[in-house]
Amino acid sequence: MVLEGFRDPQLAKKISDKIHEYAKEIDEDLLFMHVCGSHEWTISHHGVRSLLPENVEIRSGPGCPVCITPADDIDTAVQLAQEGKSILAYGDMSRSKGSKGLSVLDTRPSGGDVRIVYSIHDAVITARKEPEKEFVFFAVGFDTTAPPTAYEILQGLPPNLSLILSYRYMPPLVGSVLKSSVLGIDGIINPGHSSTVTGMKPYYPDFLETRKPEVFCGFEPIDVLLGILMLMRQLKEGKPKLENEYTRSVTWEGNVAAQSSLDKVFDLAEGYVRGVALIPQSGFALKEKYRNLDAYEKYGLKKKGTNEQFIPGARCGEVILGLCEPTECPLYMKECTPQTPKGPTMISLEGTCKIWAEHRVITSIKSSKK
Amino acid sequence: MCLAFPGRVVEVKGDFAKIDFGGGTTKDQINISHVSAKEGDYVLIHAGYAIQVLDLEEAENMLRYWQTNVSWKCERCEIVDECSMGAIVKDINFKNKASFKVK
Repeated sequence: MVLEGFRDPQLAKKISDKIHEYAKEIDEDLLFMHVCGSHEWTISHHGVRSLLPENVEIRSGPGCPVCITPADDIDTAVQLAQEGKSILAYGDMSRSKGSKGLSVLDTRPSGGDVRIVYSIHDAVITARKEPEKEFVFFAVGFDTTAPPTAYEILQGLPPNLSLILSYRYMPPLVGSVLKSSVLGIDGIINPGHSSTVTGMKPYYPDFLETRKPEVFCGFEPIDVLLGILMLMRQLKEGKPKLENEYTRSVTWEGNVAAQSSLDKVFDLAEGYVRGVALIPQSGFALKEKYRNLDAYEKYGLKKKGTNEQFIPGARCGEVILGLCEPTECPLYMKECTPQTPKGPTMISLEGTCKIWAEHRVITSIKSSKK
Repeated sequence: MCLAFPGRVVEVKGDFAKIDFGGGTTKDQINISHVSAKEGDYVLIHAGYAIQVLDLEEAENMLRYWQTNVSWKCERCEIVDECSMGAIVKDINFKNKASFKVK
């Protein structure tokens, strides 16, 4: 299958050699960022960082939907579970802790009904099987995950199913990463599957404003290496572009059918990135006619807003934003391990800390290169 | 959540399809309502829903290009102003998808 070519070690070596060549010519420290847990997994698993020159760093930014889900929403799910509603959630979402150190799964010993599902489809099937029970689906994800939920809403959700919505729209999130003077990145690898849905088009206005190199990348190791090479080529030539490496999937217009479903069901609203910031226009909210499907509306709940986003001493917020590496958190692989996670970045399958821990990264990659 | 896997469409039944993920794994009831897929197409699937039909010819061309010429430069950018491969910094309409055609 042609996709196996995207794991060709000889091609990887060729691209890596070219990256080293450009790095010598550019002769500056370069910081690139990606915003997808799946990209971090590919980078860590295939050792992409070990192929990069000393002055080129690729860092994980806010790309983990479970990590960025506000503590408020987790607290609401916990409250509903304690009140006897059945909560349907992804495995890692069910273990992520809210502001009081409680996860949805923690309600089980005292009778909370929490069931692990893999998709909105599972949630619909489950709710239909038990019409006398009230179910709440923890709807977490990015642009890739929202269209199936839009589809199911258009088909008609069972009356005993409502949603805690924490979907995020990526283009404004990427825009705020590009504009952040605190991060000061030199280029960005844009998410490949969420942009398969949105297309490249919504990224164009922020690109014109910031003029920083951007490449949409696939998820095989060759895809990521090519993406880094393309970013460096843009810098070397002094021609920043909104470039596409993932041409087999990402297009300018994106998946128009999926966008149409989204437009019928959702409006864009503020989206809070846990412990980081409120990003305008980056959250999905249900349109007026579907608002009764929102669990907050259905059960008359309000968002409380809390400053207690992580346990004291933990640097989860900085890891989420990409301000620091997991190894720079004092709890990483000491109190906080995959077996005893203390924050969402160690709980979530797409959390940077979890991915690094699973790949046995104990010391900083930057310091190990020197 | 960007996790998505490629699979081949074995059979289409309205909004749903049977997909072959390779290695002996097939799954029924994959929702293909958001893509235009036919039997034999490869699609990208995220949590039971197809999000895109993969352009494997494009993938093959691209790999071949990079394998033979790592200092690739998109020739289309020199021929036309419209390119979804690299947006030059000016106001342009993107109509055609550029692709790596190996000469």
